[in-house]
Amino acid sequence: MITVFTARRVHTMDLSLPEATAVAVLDGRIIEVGSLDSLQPWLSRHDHVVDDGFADAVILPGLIDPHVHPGLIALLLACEWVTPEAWDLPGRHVPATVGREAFVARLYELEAFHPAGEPLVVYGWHAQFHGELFRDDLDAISTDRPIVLWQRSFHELRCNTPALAWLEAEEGAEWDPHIDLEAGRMWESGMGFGLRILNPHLIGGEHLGQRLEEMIRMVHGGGVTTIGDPGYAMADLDHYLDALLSVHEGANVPFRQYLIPAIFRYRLEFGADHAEKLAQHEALATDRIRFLHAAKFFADGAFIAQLMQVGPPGYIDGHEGAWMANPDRIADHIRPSWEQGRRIDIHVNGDMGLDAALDAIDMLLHEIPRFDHRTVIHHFGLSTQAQSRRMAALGVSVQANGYFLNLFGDAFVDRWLGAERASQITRVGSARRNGISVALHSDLPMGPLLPMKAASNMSTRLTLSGEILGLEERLSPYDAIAAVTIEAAWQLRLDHEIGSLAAGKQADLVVLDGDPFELDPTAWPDIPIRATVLGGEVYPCD
Amino acid sequence: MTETCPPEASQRIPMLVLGGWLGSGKTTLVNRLLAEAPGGERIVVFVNDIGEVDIDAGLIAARSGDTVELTNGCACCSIGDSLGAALRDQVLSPDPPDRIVIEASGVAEPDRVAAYGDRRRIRPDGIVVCVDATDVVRCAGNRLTGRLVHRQVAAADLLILTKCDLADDGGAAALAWCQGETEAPVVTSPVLRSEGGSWVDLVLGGMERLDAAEISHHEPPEPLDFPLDATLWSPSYPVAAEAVAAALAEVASSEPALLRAKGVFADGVVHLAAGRVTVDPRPDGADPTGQLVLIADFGWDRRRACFDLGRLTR
Ligand SMILES: [Zn+2]
Repeated sequence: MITVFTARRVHTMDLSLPEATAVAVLDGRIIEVGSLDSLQPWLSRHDHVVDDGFADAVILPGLIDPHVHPGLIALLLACEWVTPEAWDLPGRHVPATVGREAFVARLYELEAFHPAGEPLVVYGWHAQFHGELFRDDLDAISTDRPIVLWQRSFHELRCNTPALAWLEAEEGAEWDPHIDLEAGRMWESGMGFGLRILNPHLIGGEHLGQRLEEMIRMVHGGGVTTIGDPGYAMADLDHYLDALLSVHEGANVPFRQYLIPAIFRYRLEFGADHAEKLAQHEALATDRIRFLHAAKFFADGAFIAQLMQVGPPGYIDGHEGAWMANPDRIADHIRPSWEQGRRIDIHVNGDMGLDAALDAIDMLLHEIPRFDHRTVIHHFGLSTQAQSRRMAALGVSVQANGYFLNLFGDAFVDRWLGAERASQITRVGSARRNGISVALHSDLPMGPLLPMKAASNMSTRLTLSGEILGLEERLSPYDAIAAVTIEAAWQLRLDHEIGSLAAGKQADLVVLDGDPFELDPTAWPDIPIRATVLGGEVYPCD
Repeated sequence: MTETCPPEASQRIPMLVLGGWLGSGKTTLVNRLLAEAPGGERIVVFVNDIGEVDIDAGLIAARSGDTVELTNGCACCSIGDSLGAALRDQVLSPDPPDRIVIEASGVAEPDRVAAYGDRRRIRPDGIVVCVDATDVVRCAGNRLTGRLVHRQVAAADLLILTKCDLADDGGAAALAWCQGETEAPVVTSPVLRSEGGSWVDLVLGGMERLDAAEISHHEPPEPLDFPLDATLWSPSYPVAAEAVAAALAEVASSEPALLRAKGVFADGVVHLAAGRVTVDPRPDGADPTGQLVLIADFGWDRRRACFDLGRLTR
């Protein structure tokens, strides 16, 4: 039976036939995009129903977020959230909290309502937005209950006295230099010491599955029908995939999920058997969860934590970034995957990190030329015009974090890079001008899983303070929507299946109560999402 | 490094940190330490790995002894193990080691690694940094790698300059560079061959032996009269030793600059030496890496050679 979805307008995101008013679906796939009139050759010969429930709404291809970490968000969903930006989490709205006073007031409130005896773990504190908070400050809130603040960039915990005892910090401080008992700080590997206790508390046993279950609603609420997870699982790949396959598979899950292995994780966990183990995992693919013939690699450190490798003139305060792999040997890491014909995804934040990644791809292209290799630079914090043109020449595309500029642009102007270079954060406009594919991601939990918000951010280039940073690096409205639909699909090598609406493709749709091409991009995050459609099945949003 | 707890100093476990670039010979050195440590001494090696490809994998013996693999904890997408917790678990175990060696990752700053460990139970035993004589001057001048190389060398209590016999000047330029960067003693070494190597005693002798007066600076070995280059061919598909040998023979006949090659495969060890390709049985304990290390004159066409090896074995 054919189902015809009618709409006020359908944006196909295929410039060959950009607009329509009806989408006809059979067995999960689109048979024609057009109008009730144009569909007559089909409808006059086959059984059909017309679903006009969306007749006053606007249909776009289902949104795609190609870089999302369900494993990490599962961990954080087990925490209370007090964040500098607003979040819609399953079953709770988290308002933006800025300023020390507001943050502390919120902590008092959470403490008062938290079940007696249970540790209070709060995610989202960031000194830049909330001021400094040390052990004494947290002890003022409670000296009975452990209170742990988990920093917004994941690199640090701040603890009160009971929390230090709970996380065995006193013993840890003997062994790890990154624990400061007096200040209540546990950072980097010192945080790792605390996580041995914190992690099982948050997602041990059944908890992981429960949190992954909650995460389904986050994906759906963002109008997303496909996610990618490069470098899935933080630890214990078998346990993670077990939980994932049992929770994110099935008719109640309104999205497709594509996993991209980080080869180093497999090397570390399985040693000599890593290739065999990866092949075993890849054989576990189901309807909703697939493995891409791709592999993820790393260049330099994190953007939010100011650990990206910045070339001259460097950071204003003179500190240096970190390497996550030897910049001289990235090609050696990638080479076996390159030879296997895998698509390559590289985590890159700073301009020096980008040089290292591009040198590697340049070398590999000379060794073993590949057409249509679709190597993707992920995050794309800081870069130059020269690098953008080099990327175009090498056939390397951009998958930018859609939130770096909005959330952290102001701080990078004031503290880390100055105005000129901060305006070049995620310089997607020039990438498009150079003919490079541009997609956007959240890197959830780094940014919220709201592709319309990410697209808005990159189309307006507004920061939290309301400044416009790097106006010439904005995306056109069309390119911004393409970055969360067809360009994201292209980068995953799935553009023949998803990302635009055309006969033969998967019937994955998002239904909006407003037309983004009639509205200013600043209004996009507020367009209500009425439903998503996956393979022709309607999943209403509440 | 300041000592804070002298009383039971003799009972504390010595902890040596071994740093240096990937490919600088760290892993080879660790294997030598494990193989040549004074009888009965149990060494536990912590490998602070970030999943790097070890370009020397084909040249070194299988890793032996106790090793504890650790992940690098500083990544947005991976929350790694804790070196502090791993050290504690070993030291407080019913059967603690006699000595601890931490093999830092190629991108680590070894002095930061040396700061770990409870000083009441662990005695810092110095930082040894390996430096590749054929590559260090280039790395130090490179804008991507330079700062890190400088910091690693500056952190060393003892520098070991490796692969001197592969450097065109016998390592003289690299030695001069190192001595300009650090006050620490520098010993030079050929490709860390299994024979010889008085510096194993030196490394295991600990801080008190690292007095410059005690160290006779090894003269650089006689310079070879040609510069060398090494590369790694690592096929992504399984391949038999005989097939590799046949391909290698053909590549060697068309590439006279190719001097030596070695690779451990599941069904045998392939060698190229003096123009002859041989296949030996794989010794017990030698893990097959499935990779071939190729050593040739500089200026050879290594892309061509790797490409041909692939073409001939596929
Ligand atoms: Zn990520």
